[in-house]
Amino acid sequence: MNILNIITGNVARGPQTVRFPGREAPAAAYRGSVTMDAAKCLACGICDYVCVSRAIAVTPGAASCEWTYDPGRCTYCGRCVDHCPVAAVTQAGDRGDSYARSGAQRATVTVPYPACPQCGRPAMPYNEAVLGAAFGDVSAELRERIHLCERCRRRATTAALKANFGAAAETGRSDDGR
Amino acid sequence: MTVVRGLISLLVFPGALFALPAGWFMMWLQRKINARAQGRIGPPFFQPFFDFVKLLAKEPVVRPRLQGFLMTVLPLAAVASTLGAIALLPVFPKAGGFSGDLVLLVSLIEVGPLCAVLGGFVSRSLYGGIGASREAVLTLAYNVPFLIALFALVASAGSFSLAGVALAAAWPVRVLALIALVACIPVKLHLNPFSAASAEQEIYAGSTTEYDGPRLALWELAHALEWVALTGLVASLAFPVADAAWPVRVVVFVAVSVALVVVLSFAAASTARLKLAQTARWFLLCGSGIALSALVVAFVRL
Amino acid sequence: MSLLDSLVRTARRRSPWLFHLNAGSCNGCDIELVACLTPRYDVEQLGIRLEASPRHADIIVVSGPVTRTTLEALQTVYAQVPDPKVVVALGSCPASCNMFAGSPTVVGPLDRIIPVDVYVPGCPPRPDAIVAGIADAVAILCGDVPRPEPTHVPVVADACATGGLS
Repeated sequence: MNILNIITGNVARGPQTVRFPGREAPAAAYRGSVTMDAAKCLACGICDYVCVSRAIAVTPGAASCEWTYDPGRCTYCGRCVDHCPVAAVTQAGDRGDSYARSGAQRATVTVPYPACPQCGRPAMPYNEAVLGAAFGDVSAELRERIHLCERCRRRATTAALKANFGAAAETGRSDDGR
Repeated sequence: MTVVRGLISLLVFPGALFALPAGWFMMWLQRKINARAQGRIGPPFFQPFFDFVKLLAKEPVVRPRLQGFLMTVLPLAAVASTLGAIALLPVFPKAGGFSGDLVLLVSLIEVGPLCAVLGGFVSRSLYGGIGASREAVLTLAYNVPFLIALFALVASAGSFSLAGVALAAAWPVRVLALIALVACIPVKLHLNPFSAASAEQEIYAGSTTEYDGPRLALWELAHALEWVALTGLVASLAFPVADAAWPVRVVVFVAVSVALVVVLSFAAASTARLKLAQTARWFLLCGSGIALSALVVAFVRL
Repeated sequence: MSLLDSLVRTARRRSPWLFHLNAGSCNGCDIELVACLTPRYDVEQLGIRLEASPRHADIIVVSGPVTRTTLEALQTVYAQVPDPKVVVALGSCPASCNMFAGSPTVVGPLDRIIPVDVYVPGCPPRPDAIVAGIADAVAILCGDVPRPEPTHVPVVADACATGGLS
């Protein structure tokens, strides 16, 4: 007869329903659709790599990088957010409205590569914090060199090597390093 | 005059014009009470009406000719016979009853479940067949206490007319027989705990599994009318008011019907579905026991 | 005539009945759909009923990427629902096959098999998102909102007989 207590309690308490157009906000830790901040992005592609359902695709180009995200393919697992080294990828508090066409909510963010301070060619974006995590103590020289494009950085590294080990290079080896 | 009176009771009160909205109201009330008992809001007031209109407006599925014919005629027969049963209820026209109308009413009420059984088999769906065979078993089971209880009332009143039974039945017999009758109503209306015939999530929609659009709308209509017919049968037998002024009779009829809907809905909300064998056993043992005791009391008092 | 029309439209708006089809779903979306029936979200306030038979339904709610074994059932159920009908794709799987894309046992996404009218995002979607998506589907059903053009030509041929879609 416990059911009678439950039923009379329910009738006395009134309905617990949220009236239709109204809805409660999701919990604070709710994993909603993924957004990306192009200003923070390093174009490293880790989010693409860890994405289980390939909802995120990172397509590198010559001067910029295309970051594509399809909520219709997402598992909302949050691995991209966990693995992003610079917290550029975040999850919204909700998952948006229904849509009429497959792939209609696909979003593309373009991450422009900054110009190399020496030659002006596009260089991969870098971040101080990542550099610290990778190398520990960051010297002023290294900090300066990370903003260069790959070519210029190779040159700068070579030049530094030459300056340091110039004497050894002159005695034993030819000029081009072999 | 009897023809006019008969038409009025068939088409106006307590027939179609009253019984359709009343049936929809009872279905809504049952769903609403069920929802409230579960802490939900429940359906809007016009829900059964909109369900019916929407089903009528759906495009019917093309069927083989004979099957389509049968699948339309069987629910129509259920609607017509239930409407006829409602028209026999001794509510409004005082001289509407005749000797033996109780027998006619019981047989008309039985046509609906029979049509459901046939309709389930005609639809040639596996689940329709299972639902139909369950319906058949349950019809056999609940009719034992149902008929014994009515027979006890008839024996006590010494009359085969509804009005006569309502006036003259002895109170102990009346109470016991009505308990047995009320216990039979949930089977006919597919309510818990005796809803094995249309057990959802188990055999899909039972005998109506294959019915679509307008044909299903007819079944819904028959279901709504069955609510009125069965609660009305109990309501018209509950109090000896058949010779009172007509407003009194109408008020008593409506009040007892609605009260019965409330009781049945709460009973349905608070119980779980019994298995087919359990249901049949319940009716053959407990239900028949109550009805038989009514019969014994009726004969002892004679 | 217009009165009758508006009555029919109102009835369709107020009484959408669902049929739920699991086309190889992981059960996540299925549970969330059933959660819509709970006291908290109670879809019956919109007149929605979860029907057991596709013959009774107006809206087909499909969850899961379409697997080889459910393909035939999906096509049968779609054909069994009387017109007018609307298809709601629940979650990421019917929209894109989600993480099952490329599996040899999956023939989806859903819009390659039957035309889809509403996609509800989520994996699984929240119950209130499902209710909102069904409300969008109801708007299509009663004609308030035009039906979206199908993106693919739906495959209705007996794909099972030829060993699935390639």
